[in-house]
Amino acid sequence: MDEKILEIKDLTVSFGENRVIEDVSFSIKRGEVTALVGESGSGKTMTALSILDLLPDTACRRKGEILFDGKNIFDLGPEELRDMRGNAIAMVFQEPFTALNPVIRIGRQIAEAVSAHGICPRSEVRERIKESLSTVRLPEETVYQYPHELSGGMRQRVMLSMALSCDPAILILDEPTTALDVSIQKHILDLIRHIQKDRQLTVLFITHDFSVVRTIADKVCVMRRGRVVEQGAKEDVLGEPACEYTRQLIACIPVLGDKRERLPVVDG
Amino acid sequence: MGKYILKRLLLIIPMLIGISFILFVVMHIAPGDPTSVKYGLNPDISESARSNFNKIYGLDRPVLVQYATWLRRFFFLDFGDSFMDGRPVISKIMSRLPATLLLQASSFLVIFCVALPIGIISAVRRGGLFDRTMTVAVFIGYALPAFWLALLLIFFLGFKLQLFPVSGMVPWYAVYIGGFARAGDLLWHLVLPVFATAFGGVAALSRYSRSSMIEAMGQNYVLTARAKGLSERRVILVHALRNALLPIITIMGLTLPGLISGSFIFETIFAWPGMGRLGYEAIMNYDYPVVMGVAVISTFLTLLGIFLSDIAYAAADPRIRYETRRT
Ligand SMILES: Nc1ncnc2c1ncn2[C@@H]1O[C@H](COP(=O)(O)OP(=O)(O)OP(=O)(O)O)[C@@H](O)[C@H]1O
Ligand SMILES: [Mg+2]
Repeated sequence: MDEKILEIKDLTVSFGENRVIEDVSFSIKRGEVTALVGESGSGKTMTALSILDLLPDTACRRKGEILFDGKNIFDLGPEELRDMRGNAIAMVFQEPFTALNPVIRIGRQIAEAVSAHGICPRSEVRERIKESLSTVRLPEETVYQYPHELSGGMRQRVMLSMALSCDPAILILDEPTTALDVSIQKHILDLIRHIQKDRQLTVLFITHDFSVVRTIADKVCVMRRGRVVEQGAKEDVLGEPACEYTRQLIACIPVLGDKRERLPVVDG
Repeated sequence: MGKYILKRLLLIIPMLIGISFILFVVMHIAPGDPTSVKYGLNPDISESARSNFNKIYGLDRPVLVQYATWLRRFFFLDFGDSFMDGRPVISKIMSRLPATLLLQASSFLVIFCVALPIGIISAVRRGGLFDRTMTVAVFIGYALPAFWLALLLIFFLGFKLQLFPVSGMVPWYAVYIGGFARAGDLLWHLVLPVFATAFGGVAALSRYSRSSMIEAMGQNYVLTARAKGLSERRVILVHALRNALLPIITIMGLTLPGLISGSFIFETIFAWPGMGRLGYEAIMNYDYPVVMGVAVISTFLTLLGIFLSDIAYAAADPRIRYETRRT
């Protein structure tokens, strides 16, 4: 249980001279939920994209390595990388409204993920899609729909089912609820928590919201302006934050949390 | 969807009538008239013969009345008879239409098949050697007047190198050769005219598909596709291209007017026995019925093309499925 499945070492990424990630190091343990917290623009998404080696073309990786199962992913060939993405490490993006291809049916978009890695014979792909849709509590008919026919919450479920369809070793969730209506956020979070518990998933959960951290994380890693300013077990960081910045972030919780409790919950 | 198609199709009729009215008026306002060409240069033609001609063809009546007469016959697809040889306009046009359609369709196909791959490769290898070369080539393509290019082609590839026939579509010897050889010969005759007509379109569309493709590749769903572990080929040819094609479909519809108006010039330069050349000759001779016939058929083809591209767009983009919605 204590083994490190992913380890980021001294990662530095810049756009031109602007270093958006600087000397970031942290690790993720199997079966744990690691929360990556920080304000907007602190480099959370860039860190996540580095793990898949999918940084934008304009970004430049200055130094560092990312070890997955003991192998540096930056040493992998294109074919090995391709097979790692989605299969070993899957990601759900921040923006459910633009993350799905508008002209392709949901079913096909999930099927692609499954068949790209040949994890099951062709004849079973259909069954597998059904299964992954039911995991996120979407009706079977969703496969025939196009993204524009779904609500934001439903799209994020589709993204989640796509990410889960290959049984990834690590699931990266990049602010999966930030773009959603507050009333739907709780549903999606509950769903994620349920699936995580159920499958003992290893999750990197990106958020800027400590109330979410409190409910879901085992370990916390706080980022600010591209640097990790504090990391440790959830209890330690939340109980006795060492850093003023962390304290400020935590201070935002009660207000948001209270509001959320009172809102009626509508299924998305 | 069916309702939408019908509506769009019916809309073509009023548009056609409106445009035909403008054409008719412009044609009559333009300086010169049939009698000045046919008889004006001949000093022996008397004033009475002239007015007699005008009377026979109704040219002495007000333009609006003439238009009304024209419109009434138009509803029965009767465009009148040519001033030049008295043959019915519709049969003159029909005998020329296949040649024009062949040339247009070939150009259209060439534009699509050449410009799209250029655009895609340029977008995928942005800033690379191919992209930069094509940027320069397209710039030159824009700057060159196409008719001048046509003359250059005729001169170098036609006369100097004798590689391609420079004029006509079906030569005298065609009747003496077999089916396949005849088709080959036809293709051979198509090369230069198609090159000249398609040139501008290729330049424009390749630029357009490049930028459309670049935009699509920067979208989030492309990142999602990569994160799923799809091959780069699939990411580009399925996820990016299918979205990039949407605006290209519209643009393809919009290249039609250019192609058709270009046919007046290029069919004349290459002595292509099509409708464009017929129209050009008719204009030169103030052959009003033929001018109107050619103009209206060209307009109809253009509107039809734009209509088809709209339908293609609606079919390709699931977000624009009218009325009928599947569940
Ligand atoms: N394509 C890009 N070109 C230049 N700079 C970029 C680009 N993408 C991101 N950045 C910069 O990188 C920094 C980190 O961005 P990142 O998206 O990782 O932030 P984030 O922590 O995910 O924020 P948010 O909570 O808003 O999603 C930001 O300052 C941003 O301005
Ligand atoms: Mg982000």
